[in-house]
Amino acid sequence: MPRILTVISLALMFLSGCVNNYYYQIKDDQLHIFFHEPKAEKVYFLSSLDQFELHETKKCKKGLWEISVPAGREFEYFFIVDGALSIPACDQKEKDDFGSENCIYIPEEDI
Amino acid sequence: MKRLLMTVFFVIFIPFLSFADEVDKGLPSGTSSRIKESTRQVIQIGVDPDAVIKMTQNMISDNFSEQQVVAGHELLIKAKKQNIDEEPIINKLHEGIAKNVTAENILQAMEKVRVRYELANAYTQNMKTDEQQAREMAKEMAECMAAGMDKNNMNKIMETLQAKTKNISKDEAFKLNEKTLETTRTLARSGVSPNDIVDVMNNALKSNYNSGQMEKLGSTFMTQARGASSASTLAKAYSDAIKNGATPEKLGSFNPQFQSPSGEFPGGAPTQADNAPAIGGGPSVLGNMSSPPAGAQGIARPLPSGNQPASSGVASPAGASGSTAPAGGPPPAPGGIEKK
Repeated sequence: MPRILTVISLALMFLSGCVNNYYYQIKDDQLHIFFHEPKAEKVYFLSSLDQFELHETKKCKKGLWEISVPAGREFEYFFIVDGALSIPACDQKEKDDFGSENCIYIPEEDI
Repeated sequence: MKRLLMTVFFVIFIPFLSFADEVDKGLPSGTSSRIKESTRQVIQIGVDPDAVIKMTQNMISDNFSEQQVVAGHELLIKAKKQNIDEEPIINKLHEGIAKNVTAENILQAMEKVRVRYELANAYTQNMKTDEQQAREMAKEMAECMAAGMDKNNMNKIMETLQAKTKNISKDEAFKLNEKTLETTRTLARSGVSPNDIVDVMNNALKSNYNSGQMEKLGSTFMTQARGASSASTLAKAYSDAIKNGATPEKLGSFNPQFQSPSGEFPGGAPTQADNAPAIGGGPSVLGNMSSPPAGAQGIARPLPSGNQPASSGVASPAGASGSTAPAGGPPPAPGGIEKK
C-alpha cells in the first residue's frame, strides 16, 4: 500500500510540477501567467511585447510566480530564474537561433 | 528663384541636422564618430530613429566592439534595401542581449532572421498577391522557418500550394496561402518534424481543402496536441486520415491516443461503427479529446484573489516588489546568465 501511494504521489508531482510547470488565465483583457518555480529567489519575465525588457514577477503561494500582460497580441516569451534562462513547458514554441527556444502565446481568438 | 533654392536647401538638409542631434543626444558620450555615422546611415535609410538609437545604446552597453556595432547597423541597412521588415531583426538583438549571448552569436542570429525573411520574400514573388498581402505571407513563412521548417520542406509545401492556387481567384489564392502557412506554422511550433508537416499539409492540399478547412485543421490540431503525448504522432495520424478522405470536422472528433500512426489499433481492429465517419477506411471516431478550459493552458487553477492587473503594457502584478530594469540590460540577479 505505501508503495502504491508513493507511485501515485510521484505521478502527481510529475504531472503538476514537471510537465505543466506553468499555466495562464485571461481576465479583463489581461493575460495572467503563473510559473511554478518553488525554489526560486527571483523570477523575471521577458517578451517580444517590449523588446525583451526585464520584468520582475510577483511571488504567490505554493511556489507560483505571476506576471500580467495584455492578452490581445501574439508574443514570444521566456523567464529568467535566478539568473538562468528558463522555458516553460508550453504548447507552442519557436527556436531562438541561440540554441534554445521561446514560448509563444497565441490569443484565443486567433486559434 | 533664390528663395526657392533656399527652401529646397532647408527641406533637404534640416532632417539630416535633426538626426545628427538625435544621435548625439541618444548615444553615450565617448561614442566613436564611426558608430555615430553608422547610426545616422541606418536612420537615413528609413528605420525608426528611436529603435536605432535604442539598439545602438544596448550594443554599446553590452560591450559590442565598434566593428560589431557597425556590422549590426549594416545588417539592418541590407535588410531595409531588400524591403525586409527590420523589427524582427532588432528584436533578435534585444533578445540575445537579454539572454546574455555573445555579440558574435547575436550578430549571427540577426543574420539568420534576415536570411529567413529574404527567402520568404522570394517565395511571395511567385504568388498572386498585392504588396501588403505579400508582406503578411513573408512574415508567416519566416515564422514557419523560425519554428523549424527548413528550406527544402518549405519548398515542397509551396510547390503544391502554387499548383493549387494557379486557377483560382486572387482573393481565394491569398486566403488559401495564408491559412496553409498559418497551419504549417502551428504544426511547426507544436514540435512536429518538418517531414511530417509536409505530409499533413500536402495531403490536405491534394484533398482540396479550402482556406476555411485549412484554418479548421490548424485550430483542431492545436487543441488536440495539448492532450496528445506526441505532436508528431498526432500529425502522422492526421496525415493518414486526410489522405483517406477525412475532413477537418472528422479530425475534430478524432482521438489519436488510441491509434498508432500506421492506422493500427492497439486494442484490436475497430468496429464498423467506429470506422463509420471515416472515408476509405480512414481514422475512426473514438470520442472527443478533453480540451483544456477556455483561456487556460496546462493546469487551470483559479486566479489568486486581490490581483489587480496593470492597465497597459507588460507589468508586474500589483504588489510586486522591484521594478523594470533598464532595457536589455543584464539580469540583476547575481551571477546572471552565463555567456554562451
